[in-house]
Amino acid sequence: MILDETQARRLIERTLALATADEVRVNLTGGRTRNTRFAVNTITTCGDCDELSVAVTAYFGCRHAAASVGEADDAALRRVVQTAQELARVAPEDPEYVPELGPQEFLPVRPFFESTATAPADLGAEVARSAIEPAAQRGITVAGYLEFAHNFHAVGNNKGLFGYYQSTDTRYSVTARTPDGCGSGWASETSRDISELDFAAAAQRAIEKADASRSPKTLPPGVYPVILEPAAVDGFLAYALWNMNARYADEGRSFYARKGGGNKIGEKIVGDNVTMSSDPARPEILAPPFAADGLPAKPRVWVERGILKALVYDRYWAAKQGKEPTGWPPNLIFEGGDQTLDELIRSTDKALLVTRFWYIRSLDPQTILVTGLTRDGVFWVEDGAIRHAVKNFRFNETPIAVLNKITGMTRPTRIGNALLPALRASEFTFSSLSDAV
Amino acid sequence: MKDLADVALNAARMGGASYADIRISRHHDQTIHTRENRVERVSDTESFGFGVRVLLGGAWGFAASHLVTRDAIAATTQRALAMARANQVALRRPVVLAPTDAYIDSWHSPVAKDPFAVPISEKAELLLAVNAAALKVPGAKYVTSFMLFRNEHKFFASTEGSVIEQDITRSWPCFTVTAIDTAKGEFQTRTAEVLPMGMGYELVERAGLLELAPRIAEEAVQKLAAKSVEPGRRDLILHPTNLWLTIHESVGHPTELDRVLGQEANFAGTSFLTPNHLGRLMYGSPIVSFRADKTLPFGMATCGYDDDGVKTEEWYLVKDGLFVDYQTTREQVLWPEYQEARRAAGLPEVVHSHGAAYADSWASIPFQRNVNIHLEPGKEPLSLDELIASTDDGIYIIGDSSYSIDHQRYNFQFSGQVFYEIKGGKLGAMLRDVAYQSNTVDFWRSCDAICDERFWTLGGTYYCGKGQPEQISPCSHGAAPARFRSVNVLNTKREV
Repeated sequence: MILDETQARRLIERTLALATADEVRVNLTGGRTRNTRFAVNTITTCGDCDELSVAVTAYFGCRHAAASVGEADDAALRRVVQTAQELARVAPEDPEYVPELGPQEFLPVRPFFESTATAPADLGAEVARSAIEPAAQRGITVAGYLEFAHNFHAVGNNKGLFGYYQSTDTRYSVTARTPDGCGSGWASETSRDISELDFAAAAQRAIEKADASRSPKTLPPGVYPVILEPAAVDGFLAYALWNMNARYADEGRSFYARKGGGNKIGEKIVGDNVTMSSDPARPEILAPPFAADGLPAKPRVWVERGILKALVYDRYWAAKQGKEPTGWPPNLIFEGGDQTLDELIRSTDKALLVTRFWYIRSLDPQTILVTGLTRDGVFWVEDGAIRHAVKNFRFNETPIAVLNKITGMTRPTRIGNALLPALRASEFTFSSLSDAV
Repeated sequence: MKDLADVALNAARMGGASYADIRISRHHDQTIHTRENRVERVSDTESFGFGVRVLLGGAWGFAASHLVTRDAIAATTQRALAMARANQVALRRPVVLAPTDAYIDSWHSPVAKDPFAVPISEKAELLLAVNAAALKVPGAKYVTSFMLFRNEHKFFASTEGSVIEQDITRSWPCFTVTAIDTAKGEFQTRTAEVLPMGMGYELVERAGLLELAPRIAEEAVQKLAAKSVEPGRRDLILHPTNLWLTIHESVGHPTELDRVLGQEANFAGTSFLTPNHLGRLMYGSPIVSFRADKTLPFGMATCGYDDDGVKTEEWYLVKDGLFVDYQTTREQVLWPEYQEARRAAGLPEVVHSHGAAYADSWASIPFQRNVNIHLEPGKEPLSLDELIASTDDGIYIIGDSSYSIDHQRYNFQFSGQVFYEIKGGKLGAMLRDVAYQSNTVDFWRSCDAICDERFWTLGGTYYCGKGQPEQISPCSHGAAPARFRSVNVLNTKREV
């Protein structure tokens, strides 16, 4: 259910009017999401879901609790307010209580596109057909997923805070497999603006990659130079970002902790050619203008030419440390180079080209050592060209080490919530072979 | 409820659907998170709505809404029918459902103490007391703890005449202690091996969190000074608190028939366990049998009926080492690949679903999810002490940690919470930086001893992820301590 700004404001006011707590915040989210799934060259499942959530956070002094319901009638509103207040009254006092925010100024960001909000419900079936028909003609099987959503988000409290925005998003991915089970390729397209996406072209890329990845050769596990496509970079970087909590660093329990106390802000942690930032207003990757607590999203540099410039501070830890609260990065922008992937490959002597990784999990948070596997296309590049497909590997590697060994980057492209380049690195540790295709 | 359900079912019939069902459900979660002397979050989340699934011309249509009114149900059913009609353009394999009986029944979890009725203050006090007990241990610096309670109240009705109401409760309390050596810049964490179950607050009471806290904290501190493991081939004795996750990843997911036949290829992946292996592949050594079920009391996936309306049951996936069956739903059972492989292997005909359909919300479409899957205990009397005493050079691993497996379920790598050297039949020093890596069939074939039923316990998770849009599902995996010969052990220490 989409509520416009006036309707959302009224619902927040109705909810606040029912509350007696010292401080009360109401978060509203809702919208409609449509999805279509296909596999083995046939449509499989689909969904058309209309949702709403009313969440109330209540404070009595420094005791607080939250409750939410999925309805907005009077009885539900009374119930959610009552539940939040009852829980808050008996919750222990919070020594780290932070008052609710007052009115805030937000960047005029609108991560919304009419094209996505008005896309027809039957689009999914047509997109599935645009992958299935060319695949079937070449004797390839495809599986894929399209999801497009139109949502609204509103926050308001009894201290004058109010924020509202609508958002849209589209995510499409497709996997192509050869019928002999010896080749697999994958491609994805994501945008807030559905009209930007070329679904048929994505399917074509996956089909070509599946064809090219047949009959992979076995290379022994070991240390190799690599080119990681943007989707591989996305998965591999994730743990380095998730661990950027300033408090955990200050407490000595993360890679970002400095030996002897404090954190590594100001220290060189990765190579000179690494700069990462966030900007909710960056046109290619628009992000929400505020977080759930109403904290405004702002442009921020996290790593500049290899030096750690900032960590993620929540409002409590920021106040305690005399820092500005950052909230969680609304998006991630990794400044790349100016080459295309083809140009990067042409300028490469030897490297393993990795389409994407799978099942990445932490092994040691102290070094951000993670494990995972390659998937849907690994290729040997030599003398500027792809020479042959390579069997999948498991890796045990840390993004910190790899970000210190980057020798080339492409222009960044949107992958999920990030703008990421393909990266070429001189060393990457693959620890064992996988028979998976 | 029945009146509301009939609005959807009648509209679906009028719209030409050959089958339809509706789930009207309320999902209630309560969580408390603490750290040290502080309750960080108390939250109570409720979600109520319905989902209508229609089968029209062999294509599914599914639509859902949070507005549970006659008008919204009628309109939402029309949206489901419209999607099913639109899907005809890309339908190459019409859905055919295996038969099931119609049931008019109800079922509820065997809950002794409703966790939502226990005052929040009592829960918070217990967690803060656990934290305080852990922090008394010198060197234990930080503690986080939580309780998570979840209730699903589901009403299911289908055009085949089933009307089923279920009330399912699950609970999970746990805590993690962190020890830090600031001078060396090192830290270690130790999470208590308290795992979720299909129980009420009695799980919290019997978990003995307060009693566990000092030992878990001491082990966190010991991990800082533990010996870094020598990599190489070692015999492993895996405690059920570690083995449950290995079973989940290397037996649960490969035996999902939807993965095997390519339905998950774009996300969770496929499976090495193609139908030609049915009745032919020795999945493990002859002492290895895996039983699947959704009926075991206190199992996380346990319920009376799955989300296809199929009465739950138990069956073998692997019997005496031989792979004999998959996990299935109504949509999958009549697939010719499955039926022909069973016939070719001389296995008995199975034309009913094993009942593995699950949807994590009213807004989610049901599909095939892991059920409870258990490694059967050893048939001969064998204690954990005896198992250790008969091991010359090995590592004993307790608790789960890092886990990763490829998208066809061959190559896996797992870690654990604590590790002990075994030398000459005796438990020795604590080790650290341990992970074990193997291939599924090699690993299960290397199992040469399983403790008996006295040592069999249940592990499990709330958070098995699969599907697009991704859904989470709960399931349990029981095991007794077991030994695996000559497994590849890695050292995970790395300098950066």
